[in-house]
Amino acid sequence: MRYEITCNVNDAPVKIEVEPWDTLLHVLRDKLGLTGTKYGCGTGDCGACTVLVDGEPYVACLTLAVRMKGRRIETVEGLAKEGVLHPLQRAFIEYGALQCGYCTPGLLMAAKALLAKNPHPTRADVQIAIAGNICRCTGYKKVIEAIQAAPTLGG
Amino acid sequence: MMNGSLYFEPTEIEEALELLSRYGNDAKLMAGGTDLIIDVTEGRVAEGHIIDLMSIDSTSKITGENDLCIGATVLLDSIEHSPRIIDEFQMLSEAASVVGSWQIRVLGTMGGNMCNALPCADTAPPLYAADAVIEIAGQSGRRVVPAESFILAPRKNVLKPGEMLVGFRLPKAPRRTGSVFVKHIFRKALDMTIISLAVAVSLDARSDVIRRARVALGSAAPTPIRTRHAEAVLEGNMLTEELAREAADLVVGECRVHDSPIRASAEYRRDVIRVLARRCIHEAVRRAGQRERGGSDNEV
Repeated sequence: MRYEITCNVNDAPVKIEVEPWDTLLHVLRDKLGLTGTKYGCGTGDCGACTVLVDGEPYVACLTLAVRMKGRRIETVEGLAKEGVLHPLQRAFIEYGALQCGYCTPGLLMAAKALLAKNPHPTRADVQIAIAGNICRCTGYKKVIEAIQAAPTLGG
Repeated sequence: MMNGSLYFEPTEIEEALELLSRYGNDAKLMAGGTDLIIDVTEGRVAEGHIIDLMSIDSTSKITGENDLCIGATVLLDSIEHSPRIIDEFQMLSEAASVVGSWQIRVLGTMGGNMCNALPCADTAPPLYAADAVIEIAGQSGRRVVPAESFILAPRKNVLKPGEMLVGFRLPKAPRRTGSVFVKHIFRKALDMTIISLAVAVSLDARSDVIRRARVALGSAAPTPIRTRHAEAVLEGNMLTEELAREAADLVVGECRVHDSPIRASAEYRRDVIRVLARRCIHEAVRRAGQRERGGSDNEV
């Protein structure tokens, strides 16, 4: 059975048909073409598919699309506004907080959720917030520094 | 499985039970879905109709005037941050705070954590140590079971066909109660639990004699367990380093750990249990001791 759902993706209304077991990750990538959100493990362990749902960080691989009725979804594609990068994106560049970049969209979204709740996180706050986002390149040091610096870059 | 799964979003417990009785084994009750969706995508569980429990209002709240009532679908993130839970059952907030990752805690629920019935269920030891009871609803009415009787074996719980877990009730603890939960893992998140342990201690209203002690562990046996010999040796005594060591040895003796390719060797885990038990007993007593004295002894 297919269900039509309407939700908001990156400030735009979206109406789409989904099957009950379709994941939000599948819908974003394969139906809406928003491939910035990455498939990593498919089991919620790596955080590469982190998106925001009503401001909370969700792993899109463990989120059913059918549950997104009326919800507000933000993906990495929604961070930059009118060609201007989000302060978090600028901070990641400035601090060299990425290498291969595969985990970066998920990290950016988890960081955005954190900064919305806590604009001046301690190092420990950042570590807890991004513990669900695995990065095999950077060792996290620069990621943490970039997240802490982002609010000072303004937006 | 039939072609085409259906999706239901009941808003009342009765509606969910009716759907469950109509579709039986063809339907899956889903709370957060963080375990069930993996089971389905990896092919261990067949797709079925989804009965989504997250729109049921009555199971989504933390309530209770005296005893603490936590609905089955309250998010782990909400349990972690509830001021009342932090104050009255700190061990439960601590356990919720280390489930999976932030991304898992904003989806997952305590009902789901218990229904999955894994030996490492993070919320089980604090529920056991709080003398919590679990409320179950079925077509024929409600029943209540002690939390520690709910998990029967790995991935097996006491729910009968047509029943669902609807909530938890934690009896109000005496004022001078302290509790703590620790989980020993190699990473700080999203890792297999080597050992988890919850200790709750209630001190006498006027002295520092331990009136009630609860020690419960996860990943230390095929199900989460309470260690009653250790509890008994603590009760009626003031805590000393010697007593903490004696109790910790009893905790080790009551666990049934084996060499595990995913959780570490039995020898290592017994060492970890001994150390954590001693530390947690001290910490629970310290936290209890910070609470004001006074009131009546029969509080305990």
